Amino acid sequence: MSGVVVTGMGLISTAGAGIGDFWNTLVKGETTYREMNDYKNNSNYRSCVGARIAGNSWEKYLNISADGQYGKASKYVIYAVLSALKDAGLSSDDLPPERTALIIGTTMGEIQAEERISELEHEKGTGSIPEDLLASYRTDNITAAVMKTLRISGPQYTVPAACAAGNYAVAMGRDLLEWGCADLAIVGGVDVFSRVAFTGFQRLLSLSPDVCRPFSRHRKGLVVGEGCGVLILEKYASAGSRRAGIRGEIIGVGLTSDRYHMTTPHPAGDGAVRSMRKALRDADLSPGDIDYISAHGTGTPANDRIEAGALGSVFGRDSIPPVSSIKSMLGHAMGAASALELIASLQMMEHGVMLPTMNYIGPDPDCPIDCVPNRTRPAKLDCVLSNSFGFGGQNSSIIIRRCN
Amino acid sequence: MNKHRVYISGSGIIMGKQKSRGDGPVIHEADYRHIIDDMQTALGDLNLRYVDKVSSLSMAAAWLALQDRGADIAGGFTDDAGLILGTEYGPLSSIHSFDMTSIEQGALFVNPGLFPNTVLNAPACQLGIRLSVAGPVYTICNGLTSGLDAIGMGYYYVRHGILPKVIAGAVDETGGIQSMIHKKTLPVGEACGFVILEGLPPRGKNGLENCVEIKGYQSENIDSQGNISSRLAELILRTLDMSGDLDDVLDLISVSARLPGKEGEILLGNICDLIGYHGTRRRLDIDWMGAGGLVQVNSILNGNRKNDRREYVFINLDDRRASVLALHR
Repeated sequence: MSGVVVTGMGLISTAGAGIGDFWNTLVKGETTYREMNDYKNNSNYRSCVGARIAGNSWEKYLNISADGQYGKASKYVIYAVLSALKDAGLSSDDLPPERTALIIGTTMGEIQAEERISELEHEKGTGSIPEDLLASYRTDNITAAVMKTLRISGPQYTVPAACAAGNYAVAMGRDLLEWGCADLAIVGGVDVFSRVAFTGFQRLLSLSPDVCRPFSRHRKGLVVGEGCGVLILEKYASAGSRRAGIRGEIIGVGLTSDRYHMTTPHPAGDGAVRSMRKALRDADLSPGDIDYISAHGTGTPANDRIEAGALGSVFGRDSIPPVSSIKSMLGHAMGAASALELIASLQMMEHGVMLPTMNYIGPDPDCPIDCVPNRTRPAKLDCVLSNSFGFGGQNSSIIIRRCN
Repeated sequence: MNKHRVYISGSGIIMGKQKSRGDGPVIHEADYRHIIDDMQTALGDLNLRYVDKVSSLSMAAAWLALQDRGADIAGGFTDDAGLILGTEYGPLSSIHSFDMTSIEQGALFVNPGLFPNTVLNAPACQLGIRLSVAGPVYTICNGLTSGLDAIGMGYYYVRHGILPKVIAGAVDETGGIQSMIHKKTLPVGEACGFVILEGLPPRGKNGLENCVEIKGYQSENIDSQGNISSRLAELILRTLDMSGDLDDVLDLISVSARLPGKEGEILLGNICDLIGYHGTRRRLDIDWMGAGGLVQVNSILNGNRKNDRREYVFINLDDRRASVLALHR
């Protein structure tokens, strides 16, 4: 093994604020979204189901003094980063300040700050908007907050890439390590629940009125969610020298663009096919080497159909490995989704279990895949492919390998 | 891994105009409409009905850069290209407008055609779709350093052989909610610029004699505490891979920083003393936000070399980060 490995993971999600709770919730097949009363009671919303993290007890672990300075997305990232470092057996004092990189992806950044600004502007005028609320909108607060907390000064990038944001951050982190620009990379994705996103998806008729059922007959759409997933990446030699526990190895990355449409994927899944093939080439693997695929699997009729078609193009229609989508349980955590799915994939490899696609009613002839319906399934997983295909046609495929 | 030299093979910039001294420069549609029309003539209908200002500007400036390069888009120039767009605020005006409609009139009254403009990667993706970019499309939201960071990441991708070419640029607009959020120490202006980065030296008009190569890029978090001049000086020397006494090699040092006049001059003076440079120095007196780096870089690209000094250094500095890009002619 000579490449880039994952030595720590941290998260906050609707399935829990920690790896243990996250895994236990998902392995039980629990859905973590529900009706939201503020939308249920609003006649302008026909759907009211969403995934929002309840409570704020996690904030007491943040240990940051400037409470009004940062929005919720920044706080989610700080929490997940501190958790990931702890998981990696590292404290902030262990980090080489100039050689620690931080790359966080997002779809909408500190959108809740913008939403509050809009509410105040409407209710009381622009003069009523507090300075610290305005300052908390800055998208690069998401990474600046962590840099300040950890007192690190290495390469820092906030990279919006819609639903593929976490994977784009992982790809950039791996690149920076391989180029010698950093010795350790903290990477991940974050998004907070967004009224703007919920409103927009409603108008695109993309929201499910009840549950998310990827690849299933009668699927009706996605569920908007939130969360943050963070991974610690190191070169294998560096991880080995400090005897770090290794969660898995990043062996293949494929990033492409559909060059087709902002909201609709290419009808033949062109960008998705290319990203998967690129990742396989990068990993020097053939399709038959993949044991399981973590799908993008949003639960919308068109996206799932096109994704299934793309899988058939890459693997052969009759040779697609088992595929599941944890969005069936988490909803769509937007910029955090791909990072959370990568963490779930690493957990699946560790536990020897494939997580299910929940809420599955029955097969859709347009989605001829084994989507591990409704129950976990034991499996020895050595190589896993994790796909995320984002708004704007941003496609990402990452292959991870189990470390013995 | 072999490392490639990275050349700037094309560039384009659109900058706002000041109505009067002290006003921030603004770009009007009339300033770039003809470029979009040229683009549509060459590529066909771009389907611009719901495309907002930052996305349109990105298309126009990128088109200028590609034309400067002589790129044949229809012939597949972008089939193996990546695209990296830096921006401080991205489509914030569109996000805010969409949200205000939802609040003021109701969620059922928002135009679904405008929803795609509300994600931060929208301008980059709108551009990537029109240019048929098949490779990765990155957006970098790093505040004032976004533009230099976009060029810097593009440089790394070409240098390390990940991509043979990258279209790198930055865009920001003013007005509305940005005016409320943005801390103003200088007049704030709108701009959009792109460069084409390739591993092969450009052919044609200026010849190899004047082609511009990226020599280095560094980016670092800079606390507001501590000796910023010393840290910036170190960063410059590391980027140039030199130890000091730069009068014979450096032709220009240009700084974009959110510092009021006198403070900016003092900082620049201190940096120049530390690196042993007494030549031409420029400090931007307009805050072009995330696009400042492209304004700086484009300022030297179309001139000819006038002397034997071949190195150029561009610095972006805000309250948390410094990025440095060095060019070699």
